[in-house]
Amino acid sequence: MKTLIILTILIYIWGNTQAETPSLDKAVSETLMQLHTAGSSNELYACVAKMERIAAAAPDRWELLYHLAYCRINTSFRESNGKLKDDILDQAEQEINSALNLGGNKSELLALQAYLYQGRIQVNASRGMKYSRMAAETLEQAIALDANNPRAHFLMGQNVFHTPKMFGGGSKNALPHFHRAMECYTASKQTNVLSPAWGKEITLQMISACEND
Amino acid sequence: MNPFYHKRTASLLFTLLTGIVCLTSQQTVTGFVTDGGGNPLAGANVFIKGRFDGAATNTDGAYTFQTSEKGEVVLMATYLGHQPQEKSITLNGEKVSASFILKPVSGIIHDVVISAGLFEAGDRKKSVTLNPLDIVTTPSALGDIYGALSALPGASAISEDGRLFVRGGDGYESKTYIDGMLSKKPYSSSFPDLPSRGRFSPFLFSGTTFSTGGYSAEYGQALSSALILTTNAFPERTQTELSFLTVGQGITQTYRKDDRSIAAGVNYTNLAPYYSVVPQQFPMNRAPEEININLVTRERLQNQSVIKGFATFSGSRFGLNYPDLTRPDALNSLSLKNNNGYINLTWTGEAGSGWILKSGVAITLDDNNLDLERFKVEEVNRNAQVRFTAKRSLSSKARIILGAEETINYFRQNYWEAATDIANTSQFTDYNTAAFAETEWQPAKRIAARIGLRGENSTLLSRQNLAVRLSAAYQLTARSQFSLAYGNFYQTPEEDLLRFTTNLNFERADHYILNYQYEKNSRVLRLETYLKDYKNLVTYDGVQFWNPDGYQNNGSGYSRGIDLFYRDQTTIRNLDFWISYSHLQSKRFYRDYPQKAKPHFAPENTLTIVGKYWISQITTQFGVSGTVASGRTFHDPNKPGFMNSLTSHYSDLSINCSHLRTILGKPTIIYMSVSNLLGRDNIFGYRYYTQPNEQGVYQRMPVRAQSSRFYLVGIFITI
Repeated sequence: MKTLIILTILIYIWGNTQAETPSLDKAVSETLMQLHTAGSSNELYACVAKMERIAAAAPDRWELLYHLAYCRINTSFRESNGKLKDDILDQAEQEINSALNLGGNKSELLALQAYLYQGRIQVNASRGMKYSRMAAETLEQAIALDANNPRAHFLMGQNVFHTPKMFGGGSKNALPHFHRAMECYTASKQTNVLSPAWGKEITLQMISACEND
Repeated sequence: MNPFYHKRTASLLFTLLTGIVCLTSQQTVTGFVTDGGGNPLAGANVFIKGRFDGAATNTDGAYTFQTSEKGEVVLMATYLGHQPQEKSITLNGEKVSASFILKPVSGIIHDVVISAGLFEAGDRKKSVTLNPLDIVTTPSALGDIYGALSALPGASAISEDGRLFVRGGDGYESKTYIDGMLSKKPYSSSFPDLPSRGRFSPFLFSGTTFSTGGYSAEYGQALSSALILTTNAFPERTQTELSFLTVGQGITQTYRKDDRSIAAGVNYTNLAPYYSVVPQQFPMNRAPEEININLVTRERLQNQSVIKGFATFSGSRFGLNYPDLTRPDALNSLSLKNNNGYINLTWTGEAGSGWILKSGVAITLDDNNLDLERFKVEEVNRNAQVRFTAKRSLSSKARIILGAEETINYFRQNYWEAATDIANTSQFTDYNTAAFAETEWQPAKRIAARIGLRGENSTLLSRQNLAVRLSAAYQLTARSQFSLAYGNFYQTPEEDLLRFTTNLNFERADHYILNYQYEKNSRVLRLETYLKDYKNLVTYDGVQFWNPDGYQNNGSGYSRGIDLFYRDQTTIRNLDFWISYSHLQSKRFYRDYPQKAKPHFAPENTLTIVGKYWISQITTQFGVSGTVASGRTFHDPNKPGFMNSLTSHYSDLSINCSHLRTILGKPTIIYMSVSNLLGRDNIFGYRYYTQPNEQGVYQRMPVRAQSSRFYLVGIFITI
């Protein structure tokens, strides 16, 4: 009986500690789902707040900082106040740096940094030249570290897509990047539920947008 | 197994399960999150640390959430741009309420900053005023820093001079500092009535702080204004930049590796081809030609301290035939040779216990050779400054800066007059030692105050001065604030006065400034009113100018006025425009003035509008700037009185466009600009002949631009 009680207690304790991990995964995927379907900027801010709570619960997980920064960048795209946009991106930049310091996946984090640079352009169009170049250079580094990083290829495609044609941009030049990203998405297997996984659907949308252009 | 045991096990499990159910019973946590001023913070995140339980605050700053946690937990509140805060609470089944007051991370959002007299700009301080790109794209500036600053309130458009004239102050009253160090000769050498330009490219600087008065005790030796330029941090990458302009070419090569970078550039300017196409008012016997080399280095040392080095050397020549004001209808052949060098080296690092140290050396070498046909003047100026500052935060609300500097200024002038064969050499060296201390603190959330003291000793004058600088800001709302500034400013008399006598005192100006600023969504409105009180200005007898006894600190004067500035980068998408208006009343008794009068560099009203419109489809920015200013005073010897006449008003309309594209895969900027598009014949003043004609009338010559319009076309390529 004693053994049984101890066993039950152990199972109970084990269950409790284990319970946290699946719920962390679940909380992250739920929040990301909410982020991608959010209609108003209030909903976006709520996602950021939620992700911030999740990240604070496990401060040693770089993936959580990644998702938090990702939520912030997405929110900044919808924010209309330029100064606030910059402040949000400043915060996200700090989180990306912390994630790098935790030894997170450098290729993914550099791709996210490039996404952040693209966000900076939204504040003021005259920053386009500077930040799109910085984004391109950062993405090149991300691809050099992992040639099969689908998000790096997708963001490179976005960078090219939004660059004027006379600068070597436009849909025609962006398409190969999106195709390459799609190859990577198809080939990639998510090893860890918390790993970055976004971008497949929008890549498909961009491919059809480029083809119909 | 014994069934009894089964029963026991089942009941045990049941007990455990009910326990778990009990544990998960929910309880409520509520409260408010506000800033220090009691304003609700909407969207702040309040949660139990280490758990996901939490909520964001609503527009009243209130939050409420349910949790199943028990016992002592840490409640955390975060808000963008504010320091996170933690609170221990005990969850014992009863409703818990906890409120937070979050403090802003200083310098991020709506921080109260003393803004009286200051125009601060940089890449991040977008809303305030100008960044380097703004300077280059201001049409009337033609790529010149000082030209762009003239489009700001407080600065008068004195186009024939090119220097900064701030709030009724003379050109010499404005000084330029690079990374805190003096730049003695920031303007190119020129003849009177032909504009000089800034020696430094706006692209060298990431930050521009233009103070039109009331500035910090860190800076001295300027009666009116301080232009504080901060050189770029590390360049982003290794690259080559080429520029091809209608007036010259340049190349800069930058290397960047980890914690080290070096950039070297050569620029060659020659206006001969341009003058052969666009005729000039006075014949040039030698079109301006200049060669300039510059070197910029950056290094981060092991202990994270940074060494910045900047060196530039240039040689220029030019000559023209200019009316001889002693002989009607005669022209003098004038020529000017200038060699200039500037070296600026600074080190910034930490010294433990929170002290940030900065030390630097700046050296200016400047040689001018003027051949005025009937006179020859050779001027040699050597200036070296050593400076040391230590900064430290005393608390999150107060900081202090201490510093000392030693400036050595050597000047020599050789003068020779052809008619009399009189030769004269005057030379002197001044050692100026200065020490300053300044503290800045926030006694309350909405109030910031700064108190500074600066003392100087000049060996040449054998005089000392002690200046007090005070300023304060009060934040009315998150978006608006008032600032006040008061200060004493001393300046050693200019070299052209000291060469006759050194028995002089510092010139002095006292500034009183009241400023109001409103900022919302990339719209800024600034209103500033000021009084500048001049004392101890040097006066002398214009006829017996060689007599040392005539030189005294007897002069005085005042400037008062209102500056208005509005910049809007939001209302119309892709349009950035600003309106600047200055009203200025100024009179002074100084130099060879026989009485108090309005100087020729103080137009009463100046209105400037600058607009830039970016069209993304064609990646082109169009810029327009327009300036209208009241007429300026001049002295007409045919009429009674002094400074008795006024020129017609000044107006200028300039346009430019910058087109971005890739050429052979390289990012390229194509730039075009036309100044004074309408070709208005602006007259800046008149020069009178020294002798009257047969009718007893003094004939005059108008001072105007060398050509009414100026065209510039350039291509900039980055490889």
